[in-house]
Amino acid sequence: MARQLVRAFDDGATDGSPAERPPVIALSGSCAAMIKHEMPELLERDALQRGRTPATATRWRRRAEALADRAVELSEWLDRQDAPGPAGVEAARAEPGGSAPLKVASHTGCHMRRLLGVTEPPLRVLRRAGAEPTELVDAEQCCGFGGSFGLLEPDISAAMADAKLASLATARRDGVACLVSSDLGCLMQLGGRLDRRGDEFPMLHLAEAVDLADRHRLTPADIGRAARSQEADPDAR
Amino acid sequence: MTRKPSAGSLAEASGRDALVAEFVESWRGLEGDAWIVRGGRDEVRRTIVEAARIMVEDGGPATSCRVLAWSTADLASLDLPGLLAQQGWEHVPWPTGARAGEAAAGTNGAAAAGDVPGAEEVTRTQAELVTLAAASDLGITTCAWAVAETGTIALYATPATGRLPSLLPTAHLALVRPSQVVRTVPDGLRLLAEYMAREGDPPSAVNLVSGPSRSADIEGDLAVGVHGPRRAGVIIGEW
Amino acid sequence: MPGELPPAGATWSERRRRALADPAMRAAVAKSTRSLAAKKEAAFAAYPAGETMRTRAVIARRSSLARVDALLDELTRRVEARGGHVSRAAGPADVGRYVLDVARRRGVGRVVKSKSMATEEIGLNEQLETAGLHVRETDLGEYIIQLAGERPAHILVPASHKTRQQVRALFDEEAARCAVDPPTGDATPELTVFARRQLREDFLAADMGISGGNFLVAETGTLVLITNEGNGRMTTSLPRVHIAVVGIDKIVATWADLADLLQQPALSGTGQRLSTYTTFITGPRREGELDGPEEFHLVLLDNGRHELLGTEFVDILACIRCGACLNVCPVFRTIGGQAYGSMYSGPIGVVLTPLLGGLERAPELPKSACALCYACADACPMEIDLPRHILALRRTEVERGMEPWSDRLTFELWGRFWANPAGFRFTGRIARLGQRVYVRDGRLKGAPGLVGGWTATRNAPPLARESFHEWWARRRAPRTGS
Repeated sequence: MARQLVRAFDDGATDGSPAERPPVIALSGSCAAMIKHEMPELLERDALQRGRTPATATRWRRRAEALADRAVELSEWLDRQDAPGPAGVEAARAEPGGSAPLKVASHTGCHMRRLLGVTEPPLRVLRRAGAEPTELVDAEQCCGFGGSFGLLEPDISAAMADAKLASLATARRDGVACLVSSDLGCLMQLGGRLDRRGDEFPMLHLAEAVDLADRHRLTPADIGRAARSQEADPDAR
Repeated sequence: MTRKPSAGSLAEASGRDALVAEFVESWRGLEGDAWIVRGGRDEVRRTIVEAARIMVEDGGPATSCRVLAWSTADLASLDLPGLLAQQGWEHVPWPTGARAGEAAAGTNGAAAAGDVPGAEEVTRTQAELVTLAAASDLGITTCAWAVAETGTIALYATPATGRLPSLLPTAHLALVRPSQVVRTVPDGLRLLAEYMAREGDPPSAVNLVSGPSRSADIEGDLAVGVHGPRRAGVIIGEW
Repeated sequence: MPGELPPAGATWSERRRRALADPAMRAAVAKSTRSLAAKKEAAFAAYPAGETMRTRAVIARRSSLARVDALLDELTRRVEARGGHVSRAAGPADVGRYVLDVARRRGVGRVVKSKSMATEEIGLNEQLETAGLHVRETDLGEYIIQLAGERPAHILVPASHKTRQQVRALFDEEAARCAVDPPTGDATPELTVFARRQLREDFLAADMGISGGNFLVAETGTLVLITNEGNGRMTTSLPRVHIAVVGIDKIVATWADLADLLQQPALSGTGQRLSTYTTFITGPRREGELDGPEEFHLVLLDNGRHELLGTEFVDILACIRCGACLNVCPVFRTIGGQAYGSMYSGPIGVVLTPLLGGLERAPELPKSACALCYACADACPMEIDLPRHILALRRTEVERGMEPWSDRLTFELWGRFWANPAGFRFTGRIARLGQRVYVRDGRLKGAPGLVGGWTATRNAPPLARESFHEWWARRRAPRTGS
């Protein structure tokens, strides 16, 4: 799979700085971390294991590094663009026409936090969207998704999700309108566990929150609608 | 002193004061007791009694008290035997020099005219020492050096400066001279290295003590005085 | 030579079940780990010198590990020059043999022990008790779990999973057994007084003290002991024989190296600038001394450590047993230490247990006891790359065919199909059809095989009607030629 990804984005350019080529935006912190931190070594080792020459293995590493250099996680990229723009600030109010900013809870996944070192950009992006983001209690504790761990150890994984949901319950009592995260794995984990427990609370990906803000629709009602729709229809704009 | 202190040693003195203050703050922060004495020998002696009453009986009269004390030359001018006798307290001196050798060899001869005036005459065997130490209320020692940053005193084990007075009695009191206080643990270890270079050998044991014994094994709750002394005190002064 | 660890005692499935079903233990573990992690952070924040020493200590540890054999030789010469005895132990049986030999020669009946992970690793207590010796653990937490007949739940605070009511009950039982007064209540001072009284009798009656060691200084043949309670000092001062059992990885070259290392276990373990008692022991008592042991023995334990030198795993030997990784690990916080089935639990245990005891001893640990969140890598003061080692162990398990064939098949097929766009689209179409039987109320509540692991405890959104690529192709004209 990694080889396919590298091929797909390989435009063959071997010179010129990464800044001159279009960035590759990753929509999940753990995907970005995988591309930037694990792939070069993975593909080099994989080539050697498949019996390729060291020169071929090094070539794979270089191709993966070229992709890694261009890869950027979404919130980091939005932050650099100063996105969302001024439109967002007026939009995200707790009450339509009210003046209090919308309180939201923010969750940063482990790979984004520790491998990418990206913790501030999502908060800045949300503030520019007019929201007031807060991190959860025990923010740095893993939600339990963990990739294959989440499949192999459903009970431990669920217990970790429950601990995170308990922190979320505290934030809900403080009046947050939704949980926002830049990591799809974390969202699936927490949303899926909450749902299994028969509870309901809006959880959005950062892109969805920014999209709503851009359309002046980062309000509790619209957030609820967006979160509930299982089949978000991009044509509905 | 017959001459005015120079500017250099004034600066030294205030630097010294700051170190002592930092040491005391660190030591107290670890639930240790501390007294700074500026008045010299007589005040140190009075403070020893006060400290003993506080640490052994929370300030009570302490009508009976057994004190196990080093009797090194360094402590001679304090006349601990006399001081403790005045209070009516039992004094168990840690044997020194020749007497230590006799005790170690198991002989039980009469004490030689000692280097410690008025010292107890009895030479004790090892086993007796352990039993007495375990039944002592207070152990008194000096120290090799002290660390301001961590609230630590260093005790070297030698024949005259045994381990037990700082370990078995219910309370331990260390007498520290201001010049013995250094800023960091590595500073103290450098002094230990100098000792090792001089003597050719490390002491058989060096104990760095930072306050009274503690544990957080029961529900993470701090417990003081688990095995070692329940109260650990320092008196900083000159004598 | 590979090492040997005591067996896990129960299957992974059973240990996990028991752990997850124990809310009192989980609450206690969460409380203690949170508290210790916060203390470490606060300690370093207030003490920049600690961080400076730490970075130097990382280098000192690595360089010692590159010269272990030479340093052990120097250490041995110096200890013996001071009248101590040094023995090399390849594994558990060697240690037992040596200790029992000394015990026989010196007429030892009663032994006191201060906390030593190395002696737990080799099951020393069992070996000695089988031979008829009375062995008492004197570290308060170890004393509690000795009375309970359990394994430690945490490297630094072994009884942290017990409530005070449980501790009181254990002390009441012991009081009845010894015909002494029980604790007067379950407040910490009352329980402490009981333990102090009981253990003091053991100290005073003991013939032999056995300790571990935090570091060994080759330069002078010195053993370094770091404790807070005073039982380390009691164990190594009162009995006439002292035996220290220390892993060969604890060696440092010089006092200069030690100066940077000395405060690290306390800083990262409990947030103290120095532990209450730090003791340097060099040989037995000298001539003329009236206290201290008459005999000093140092047993240098290999048990699989030597084999790691010069391998990719060598930095695991730089561990100073501070427990910082345990205190941040979300899996440890969820299941507690005993679920790992090893005296080494948490992230360090996930790596050390299979490396010392063999991968077959604990195959579940690298893949089931770690969510790869990297918190441990951030927390380790010795900068050990634990996640890298965990991944390497997972890879080794795959290479040795240690995973269930169904998992292997699933990953194999998954990889093949998703390695190209056609295969990816194909599996998408199949899954969209196949999921219908699992979808209820608009969400996915079941799934076959490995993916069923997810739906065992969580729901998931069903696969969308069309993939992004299909939507894009349908809605956007192709870029070329339009």
